[in-house]
Amino acid sequence: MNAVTGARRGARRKRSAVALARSWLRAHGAAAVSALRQLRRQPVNTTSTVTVIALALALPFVGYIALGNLGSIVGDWDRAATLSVFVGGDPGPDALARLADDMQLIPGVGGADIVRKDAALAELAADESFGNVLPLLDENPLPDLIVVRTDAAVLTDSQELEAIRARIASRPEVSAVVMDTAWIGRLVALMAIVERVLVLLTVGIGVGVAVVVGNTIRLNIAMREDEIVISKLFGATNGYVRRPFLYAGLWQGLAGGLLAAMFVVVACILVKPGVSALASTYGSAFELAFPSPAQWLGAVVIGGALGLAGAALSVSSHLRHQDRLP
Amino acid sequence: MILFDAVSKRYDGDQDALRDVSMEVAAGEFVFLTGHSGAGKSTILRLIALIEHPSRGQIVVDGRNTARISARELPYYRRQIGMIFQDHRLLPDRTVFDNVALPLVVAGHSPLEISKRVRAALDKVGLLSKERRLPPALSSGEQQRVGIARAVVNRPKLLLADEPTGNLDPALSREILRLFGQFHQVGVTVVIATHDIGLINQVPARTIALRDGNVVRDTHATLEALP
Repeated sequence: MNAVTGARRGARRKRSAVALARSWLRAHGAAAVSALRQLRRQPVNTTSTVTVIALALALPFVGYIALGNLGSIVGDWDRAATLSVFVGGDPGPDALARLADDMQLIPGVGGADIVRKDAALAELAADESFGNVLPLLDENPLPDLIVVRTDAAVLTDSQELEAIRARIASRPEVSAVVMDTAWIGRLVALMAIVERVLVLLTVGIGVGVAVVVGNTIRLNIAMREDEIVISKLFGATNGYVRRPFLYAGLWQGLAGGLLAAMFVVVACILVKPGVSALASTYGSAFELAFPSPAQWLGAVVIGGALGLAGAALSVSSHLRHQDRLP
Repeated sequence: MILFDAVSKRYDGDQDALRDVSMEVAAGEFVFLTGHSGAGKSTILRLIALIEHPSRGQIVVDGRNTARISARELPYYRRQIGMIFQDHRLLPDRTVFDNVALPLVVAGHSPLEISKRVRAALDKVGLLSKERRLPPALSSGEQQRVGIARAVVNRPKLLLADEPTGNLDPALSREILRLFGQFHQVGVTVVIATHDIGLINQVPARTIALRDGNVVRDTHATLEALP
């Protein structure tokens, strides 16, 4: 008997849970659609808000795309610094090999490759632009060279890099040390700064977007004051009143994010030929990377979240003032 | 159904709108509140609907002390009350159907249920053929009937009407009054605030007269005494 009533009660609870879920879905569906209708009824307002959101979001977005592209250029150097160590005099192959072995023992050094002056001259002779000039020389003007590669982690650590350079330069055989990749270290450090600035910019713009959405929602609320008051007189909960405005914020934010991604793609298309031309002057086949699907999604999600946040702030502050009805 | 116990209401910086009013309206009763404008009729309705809170005294509606109804519970409390206003308070950009459907939509009923009940309510007030119209396209009397349909569509226990015939000619007023009578007959408690003496004289109902925030006459006893 108890089991039977228990089962009945369970079934009733289940049914009411289904009914609740259905009415929840219905309420949200209706609010989502009514928000869309409301936005469509004011095409000028909606379009300008979405455009402002899109332009604001496109700014940091372009920054991240540029940073990502720079990062991929820097990444090509497999993140190790190289030092060109020029050896004076004519030490001979054995002494040169010993010197290279010694350098490999320095902490932070990953490898040392010898480039004999004969080999360097032969390579130069093969180059058309120098080939004609070289026979004019009496003797090989090039020094022997050891190319020292550091461990990857040393690239951006200028102190350790300097320590390695000093140890190499202290050898009497060494006539000069040139840090080939010092600019990468500087670039990486610069990018770290730019990235921080971008984060700050993104936060600032995010707040701005939320405020813009909040403002348009406030206007919408003012325009629908009567409807809110009447709905509340007939038993509308605050949730019911809030919902369409939250959806309006969400839709505008999502649309703004999507449009921002489109703006960025257009910017990439416009800039791409110039970047390719610049890269080719460095002998690079670098191609500008467009926003990835994840970045598209990110822009839309961030836009939506900011729209929702702006609407939520505006609606909740309004409803607090609205608890007393006229 | 409604109990006022020594209720006073004073608006900020103003004189008292209600002074120490005590009265009781039983479930299923039909009551007129009368008096000049400013006598406190509307204030009583607003206090019952919890649009206002009393400055002093207690109000009990359907066994609940209204002071103990939280902001969260308020919407559910209001769903038991149907309200009718002199200025109709319809949404001009929504169809008659959507206006009447509002209390059901707000309460989360299914579309099928809403459509059934709205049509029934519109049929009752004789406006079924105008469900697709917008309120501004209707006459004042028709708009008031839409307001009545909206007030009763959720089958409330209590119907509050503030000057429901204020702008209507006598024939239309009688028509509106007949509708209220029908709801009263199916057990709804009806409270009508009006200064329309002609209206009151048509129905031998209890009349509570107010002046300057005081109850000056209550025909309750007289009616009971009638053979």
